[in-house]
Amino acid sequence: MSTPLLLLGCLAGIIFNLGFSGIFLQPDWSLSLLLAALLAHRGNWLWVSLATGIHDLILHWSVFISLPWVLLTPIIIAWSDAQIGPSLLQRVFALLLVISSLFFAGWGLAPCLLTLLLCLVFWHLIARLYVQPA
Amino acid sequence: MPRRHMLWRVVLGLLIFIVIFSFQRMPIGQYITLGLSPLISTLHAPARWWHDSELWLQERGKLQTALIETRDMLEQQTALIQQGKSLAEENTQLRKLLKITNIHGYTWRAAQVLGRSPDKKSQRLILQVQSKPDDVVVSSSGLVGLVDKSRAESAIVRTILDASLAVPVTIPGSPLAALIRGQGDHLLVDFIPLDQAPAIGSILQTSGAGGVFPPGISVARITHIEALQGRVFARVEAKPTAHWQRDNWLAIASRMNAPAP
Repeated sequence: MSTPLLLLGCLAGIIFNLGFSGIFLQPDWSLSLLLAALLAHRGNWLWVSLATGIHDLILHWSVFISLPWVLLTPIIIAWSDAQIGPSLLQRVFALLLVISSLFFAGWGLAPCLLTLLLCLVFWHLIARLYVQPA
Repeated sequence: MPRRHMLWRVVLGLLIFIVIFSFQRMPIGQYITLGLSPLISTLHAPARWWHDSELWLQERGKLQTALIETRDMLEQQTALIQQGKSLAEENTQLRKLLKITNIHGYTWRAAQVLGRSPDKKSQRLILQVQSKPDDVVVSSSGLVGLVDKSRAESAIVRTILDASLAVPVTIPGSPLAALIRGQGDHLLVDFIPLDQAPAIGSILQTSGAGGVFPPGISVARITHIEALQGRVFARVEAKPTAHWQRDNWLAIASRMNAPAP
């Protein structure tokens, strides 16, 4: 999956969030996609950070929602990978950290949980693209 | 990972944050949201088509009854508008005679809700309507907020839950003059002396002070009053009377220009 396609998916997610948030319960589509791309491959951090900043500006009019945590995520992962070796533990911790920022920004518990679950699915799907054959 | 790479990433990350933070000082988010409004409208199109196609499946008798009722309502509204126009004309004449120039009138119209921000705190709205900044948005049950930015056929509304809005309020028939400020999920009412505090459940209405909000619109219902030691004013919390989370249509009031003296 190419980066432009992921960004297009994020845009569609933001439009979905704005268009239907009063009508039915939904996750933060774009953040789950961005976070999944970051967790699947930490080299994506540059465009993921920029897109998260724009996501925060559109949905919250503030950059102090998810962007600081998304910027911290690759640093935490890189540092902990060097200390304790690459594992899922630090990635799941980063995932929870970023998703919790939504909760503190005023999202309900149910949309946060939906975002978490959706992110796990996207993470699984995107990570498969980076798997190198043995 | 080499330390040099890590340092480079931290510096670049900080740079990204500073660049995006500098965008935050300008209303970039609002402008992007306004730019997205045609796409949001397109996304709603299937729902509109479904609603329109449902009319084909309804009984002709029911539709004819609804049409007759709507025509009656339209006639009544036309009569009211005519009456309003003649009253406005009379008002203008009186203002000229009394040399009062600072009172503004309001024109009201309906606006369709196109979208909402997903957070539970400020709950901003996107409306499909021609408007200008600082137009007042009202639901059937009370004040909703103010138009923040507008472009062509869409507008972004800052609701009264937003911390940046302050609404002068009063209780009709009392000398109370207070100010309501948004706190995300509830409202704070400032400048209410404890001995003059209204009862819990009282409805606060716009006082019209400041000239932004028309007077007499319900704003909030008081939910909590607390005396604070050493303070002149009580801590008063309130909830908005308007429920705009599910309303598809809202009313919008634009200030008319004051007549030339």
